[in-house]
Amino acid sequence: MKKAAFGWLLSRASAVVLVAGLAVHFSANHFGRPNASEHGIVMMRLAHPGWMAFYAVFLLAIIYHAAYGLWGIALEYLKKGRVLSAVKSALVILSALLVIAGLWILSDTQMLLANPPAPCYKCHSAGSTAGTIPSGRALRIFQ
Amino acid sequence: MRYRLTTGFFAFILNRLSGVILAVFLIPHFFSLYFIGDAARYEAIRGFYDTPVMRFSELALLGIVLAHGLNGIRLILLEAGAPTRLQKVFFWTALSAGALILLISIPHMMWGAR
Repeated sequence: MKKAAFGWLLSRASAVVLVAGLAVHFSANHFGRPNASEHGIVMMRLAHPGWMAFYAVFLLAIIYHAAYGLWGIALEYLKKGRVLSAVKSALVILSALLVIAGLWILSDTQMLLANPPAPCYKCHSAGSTAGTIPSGRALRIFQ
Repeated sequence: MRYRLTTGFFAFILNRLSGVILAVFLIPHFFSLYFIGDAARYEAIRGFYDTPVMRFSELALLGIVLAHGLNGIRLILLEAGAPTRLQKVFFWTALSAGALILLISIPHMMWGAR
């Protein structure tokens, strides 16, 4: 298979992953239950290796898909030359940075889970975010 | 190149614009999550997103995701060999499905506990 065809196929494969993944991501973080994006609830979710694996795949799929899409637009409007090369470099660097940031975020949650400040997130019964986990309502400092 | 306002062209523009917006959105989204190691800071940021303006932006974001995702399914079906005479039907089906999901989501996205 030619390199361009492989890139295209990968963008379509990532699209399928993303359509399914976004449904899962939105359901879990916004619709699954009240306050689904609260810190304690998100951490409880991420304590499960399945969610970690999901987000690792989701991360790679979304960064590849976005970079491929933007590169396609650049190819359409720019002639071969310095500007196009610069766009390519910028896309590669930005993608790498976002992948690193994403992996850093995921690893950060695992470090927090491994060394939990009281109370232990893993010890919570589902639905209970009482205790010292700050609630979103209490900390609206930007309002 | 001369542009003609056909369904296909409208779908193309919609997909391209939504794609660029979603790609740009990734940066603030990752930036917000960067503080997940600090519960208080994370919750403070979440509080920032819990204002009417931000809630409306997130609703719009859901709309953009739906437009891009559902139109993407249509594109993949067409590329995989679905008859092109159905492309307009696919487009309006995707758009209607997206609009329906968005409508159902309005109460939760604007006023729900999340």
